Amino acid sequence: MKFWQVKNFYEKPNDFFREKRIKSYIGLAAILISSYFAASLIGFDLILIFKNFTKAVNRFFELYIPPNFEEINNLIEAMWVTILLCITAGTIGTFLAYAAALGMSKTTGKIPFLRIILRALSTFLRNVPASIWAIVLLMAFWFGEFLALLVMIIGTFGFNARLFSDMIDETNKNSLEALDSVGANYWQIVFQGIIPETLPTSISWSLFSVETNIRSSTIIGMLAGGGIGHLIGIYRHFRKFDQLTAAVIFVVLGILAFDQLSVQIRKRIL
Amino acid sequence: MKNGGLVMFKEILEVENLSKTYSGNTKALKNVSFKVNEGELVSIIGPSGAGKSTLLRSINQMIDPDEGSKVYFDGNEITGINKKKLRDVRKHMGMIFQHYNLIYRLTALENVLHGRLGYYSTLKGAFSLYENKDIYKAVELLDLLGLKERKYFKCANLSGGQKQRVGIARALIQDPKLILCDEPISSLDPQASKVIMEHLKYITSEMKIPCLVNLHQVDVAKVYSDRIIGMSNGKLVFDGHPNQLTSDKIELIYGAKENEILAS
Repeated sequence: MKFWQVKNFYEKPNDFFREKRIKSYIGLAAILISSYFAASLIGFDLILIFKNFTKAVNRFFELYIPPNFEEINNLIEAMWVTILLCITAGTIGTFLAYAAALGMSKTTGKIPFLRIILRALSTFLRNVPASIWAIVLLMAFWFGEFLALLVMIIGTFGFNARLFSDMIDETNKNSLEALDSVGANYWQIVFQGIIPETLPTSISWSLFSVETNIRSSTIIGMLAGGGIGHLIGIYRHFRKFDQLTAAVIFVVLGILAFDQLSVQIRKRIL
Repeated sequence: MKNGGLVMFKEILEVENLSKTYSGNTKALKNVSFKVNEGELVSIIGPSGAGKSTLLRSINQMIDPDEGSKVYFDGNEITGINKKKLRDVRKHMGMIFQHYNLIYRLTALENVLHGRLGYYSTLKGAFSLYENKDIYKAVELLDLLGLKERKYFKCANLSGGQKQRVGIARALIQDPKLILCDEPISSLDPQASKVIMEHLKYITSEMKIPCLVNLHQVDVAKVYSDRIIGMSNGKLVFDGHPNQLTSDKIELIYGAKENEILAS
């Protein structure tokens, strides 16, 4: 019997709890020791952080608080551009993802070769982070809104294509069998069966991808240009940290507002 | 030569030596042969796994039967025909399912009109560009089946019996020459089952559309059928009038005596 296996017989019931307690202590000690070694390897000094904690907090407040809304017009404009970019990217990405999902899914993908290609493509696009896409594509596409749009479309596509193909696989096969039995052809089954059954979920996921886009627009905008992220990058560059705080507040408000909107939309379609 | 021997009904379906072997050498059907005539309600009974569902699905080729099996529909052989011709055959063959198999996000009316898809071009069918006469026909059928108030309801919000009636309307709008019913009442309560069986009886006797019905309930089969086919282990072991279905025959089909079967 290995020590981590649970025995099913104990002389005294309290032995069970004693053994469990000892195992917890061993686990805790293992975590602490490995943390200590890792910290000392990279020269991370815990004591120093504690000693200077108040200093750091003071510095933070000094730099970032209170937020400075001096350039509110610029902020509003940039946020508006961001929201438009995110919605456009979310919509285009979702459409492309649905088309790819039809080719990827086992239910609707009739060409095995295409299925593998699309699956590989979406996995690749999904697993390279947006910031890397922004840096890499900067060399080929010019800095600005279009690049930000492209990066967001890639992200939305990669994520949704996989999701949608699973969703199509999960549609009720029986319902599709009935359409087959009346002599409906492939595209009739797709438009009369698969799309109606998957539409509400697809809309829900596309709203979610717009939300994700707004969240990542900060970093994408900073690297690729365009929208509020670009502005955040500029503020950081010129050390206008109080204005940076104002921009971050705008992003948070944008996410909250869109979240409320999508809750309302979901309520009506689902 | 039924109905007093006065009228000779037209033969709609002939199945000859139908066999089906699934991968792994499971023989689901072994040389099944029978005929279905116009105006007949034929029930197929037998225990689970006897091959009833496979039999129905081999007729409209949802399942490909083995080489050498022959199915004649309305005088033409339909085994081994190409996809386009098969689509033409299927649009004249209705099918009703145990689990209704509707598109639950769509309304009853839209589901009924799905029965016409075989008659439309890809584009018109895909975008629901149905002709007015078909739309009015769908409304008429829903009224006939007692779903007048439920036309614009999403099918997800209908009861089991109502869903099955939408399924029947979908089959009827096809203008079918034959309706295949795969355990149409197995998911329904006794009252709804009775309504569905009455409708099927009306369809065969008044509309002259023959129905081939898989059933689990021997007593239901005896009441409503013009003929009963008994299946056991993929073989046809009985084909005759309900009166001829003696307890010996039931034992042959189910491998148990009639009074030992709960469903009857």
